[in-house]
Amino acid sequence: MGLTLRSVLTALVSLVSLSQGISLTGPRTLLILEDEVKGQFQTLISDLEARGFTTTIHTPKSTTLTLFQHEERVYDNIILFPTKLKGLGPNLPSSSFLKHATAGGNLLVLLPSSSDDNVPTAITELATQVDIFLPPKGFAVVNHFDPADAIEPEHDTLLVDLPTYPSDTKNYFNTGDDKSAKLLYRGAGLALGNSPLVQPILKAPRFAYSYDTKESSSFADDENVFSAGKQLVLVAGVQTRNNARITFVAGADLLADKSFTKVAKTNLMSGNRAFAKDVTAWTFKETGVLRVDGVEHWGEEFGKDVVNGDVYRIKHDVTFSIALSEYSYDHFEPFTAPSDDAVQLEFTMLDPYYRIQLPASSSPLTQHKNSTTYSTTFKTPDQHGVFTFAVNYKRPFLSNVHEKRAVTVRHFAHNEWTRSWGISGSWPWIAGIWVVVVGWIGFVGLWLWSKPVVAEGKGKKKQ
Amino acid sequence: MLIVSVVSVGCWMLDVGCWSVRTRQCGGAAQSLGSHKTRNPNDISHSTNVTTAQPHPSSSPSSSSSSPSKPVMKFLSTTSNLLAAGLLLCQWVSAATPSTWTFADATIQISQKGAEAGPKQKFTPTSPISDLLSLKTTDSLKILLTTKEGDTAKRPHQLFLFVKDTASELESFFAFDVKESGKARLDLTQKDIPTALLTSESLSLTLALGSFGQSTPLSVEIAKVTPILDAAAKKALPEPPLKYQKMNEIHHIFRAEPKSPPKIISLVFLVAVIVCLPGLFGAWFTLSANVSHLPKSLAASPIAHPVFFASLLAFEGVFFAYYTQINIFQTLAAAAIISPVALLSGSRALREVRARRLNGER
Repeated sequence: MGLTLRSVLTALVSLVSLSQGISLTGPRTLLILEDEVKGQFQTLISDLEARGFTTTIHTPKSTTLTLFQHEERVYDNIILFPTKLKGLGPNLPSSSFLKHATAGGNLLVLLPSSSDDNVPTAITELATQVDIFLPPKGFAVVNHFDPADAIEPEHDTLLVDLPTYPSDTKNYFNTGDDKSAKLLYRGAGLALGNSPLVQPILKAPRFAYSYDTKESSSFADDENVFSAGKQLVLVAGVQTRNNARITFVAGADLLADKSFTKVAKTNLMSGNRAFAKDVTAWTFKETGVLRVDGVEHWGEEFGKDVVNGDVYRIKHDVTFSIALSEYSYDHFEPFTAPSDDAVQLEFTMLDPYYRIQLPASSSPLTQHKNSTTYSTTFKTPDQHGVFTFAVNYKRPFLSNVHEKRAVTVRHFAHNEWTRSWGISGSWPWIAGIWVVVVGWIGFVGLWLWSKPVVAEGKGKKKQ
Repeated sequence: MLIVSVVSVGCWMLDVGCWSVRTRQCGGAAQSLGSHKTRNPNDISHSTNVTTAQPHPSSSPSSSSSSPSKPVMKFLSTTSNLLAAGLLLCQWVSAATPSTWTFADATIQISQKGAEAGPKQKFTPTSPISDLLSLKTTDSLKILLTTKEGDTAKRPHQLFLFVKDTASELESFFAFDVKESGKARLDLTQKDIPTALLTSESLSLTLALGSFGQSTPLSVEIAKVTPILDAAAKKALPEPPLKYQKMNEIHHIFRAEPKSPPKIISLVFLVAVIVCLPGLFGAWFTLSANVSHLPKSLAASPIAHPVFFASLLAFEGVFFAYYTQINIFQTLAAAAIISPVALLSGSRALREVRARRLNGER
């Protein structure tokens, strides 16, 4: 009965997910834009719709727009397109976006590419709240060293390589066919704070800089440079603690139709369209989402007969394994940690006392076909108490994995200790005891049955 | 601008990676090394290449497929005079022909606070300062130069000094103070440098010089500096901010495993202890101990003596069993059975011994 109910449910769920699309958050996407802006982003929007997102369009000033109904999110994803307005409408304060993210919704913010355009204060506020800092109006990034167009003297359209990351970070932003494609970028740039939740997705070229076009048109002095080089970020992603994602694109043209074109300098297609797909896919949780498919642990004591038991013994082998899979557009696939990264297991009692690598291993968890099993065997410490198996896997661009299983680690029972004869240092002492025992028995025998050997007649010996 | 400086100091730790993007972007230096080799920062740091990034498109590093574009580009460069004259005249770009940004009269000087200024060291775009400079806590570094577009002294839009930790690839920048005549000056003290860079073994100083228009910009590594921190400054360094990444392994040992002395020592003492037993009996028998009265005792009390002695052996046997197998309750039960036997037989046996003593046989 239960089985049939479950299979019916599974079928229902899969049906629903098929019809609803593919983002793990959901397909309902709100586009906040003015009509004249829509024409610039046709490809982006149609690409999203082709991937199963359903779009709803509202203008920033819309009075009918509401992000929450009955305290429930109305939209799963929001894209804020650049606007000429100084402020967004009364229904879109910065707190509404934060509330949306707190409820698990995703947000993609496109900032204007032109230094003449305003950034609404709600967006500046929102950025500050997630540790991203926007330059004031009038700033633009230029790169004299590799301008997109050699003829243009302004140098404000940048050619940027597709992003690469250190070898311990997964690259979700270079999935296009042409890995060496250049991105066309125009905009003001961002600076990031120290929060581990905010990650640079795309950084400026080494010698590019963002300067105040109004104040320092003839010379970029210290006062009027916002940031430069690798400290200057063009696209930044925030993943909140509840795994909602907020992405800031500092120049909206990066995702606009006019950038999905050939790069004049190389005469090759720009990588912008593929990059736009990658950025939206990450922001709307089509990529970089991890799922824990199973956690199992067992001890040497009972073997695999007792899996996920809650008592272990000190100084005994314990095997822990966790199965992880990763979402990729429309399905889960085995998650492989980057080469220089590692899934780590912590064995904690308030503090972690063990932190050990969980290498990917052949799976004893045969029931999880679409996941990678990370497993290790270790000896429990010489300390009893309540310990926790914790996998705290937080990495840039990946949703957080924080699995905890509390178990008791008991001490040895009185009859589980090593016996005294098993300890070589005790041998002389044990021998001493038995020497005394045998000596005493012998003494008793002699005392009972010994015949005095004193010569006859010399009198009897006093006791 | 306050925010800017705070932030640009702030986000160091985020920016450790991704340098290969930059090295590919920075033109000749990285390209000449090949992008795959730039993983090792030393490769970059030892090559003090003069980088004159080509504004012309034929410098695309990786694309063999850029060949179709080449004819067009050639056309562009050959006709650039014409184009510039025709198209750019109205713009504020002054040079009609693309020339190269460069600098002259460049010196670097490290002076200590309250002490005489150090020697001025000259450098040019092609000959950077070869010896490693060191910057102590109170030192200040002064760079003077004159920027030129081609041969004429002129102020560029960008004149930055990029300071990079060669190991972690972190990089910060400092804008020069440039007069319209092209005379540029930068004063750098240790406290201007972000703390994340101060812990570096070696900082590479790169000059980036460029402006709008057609002139080729210039980037050149001019020197290497080692920041030397005094003890107080070292203490004042903040903790690096939290970063989501692999953490160090921990293998905590609550207490050391109990240890036994070498087995050979235990065995030596074991033998020594066991040897005591024959020694003891030997001593007793040489002092004329014997069991000659045994038949006599057995004859006098044939039951009491064996039973008494057997009960003593049984006690030891029970103790041995307690040591190896049974628990305290079984031990007490066994002792409760043996005790009255030992008591009764003992008193009989000892009565016989007393009789022998009274007979003068003991």
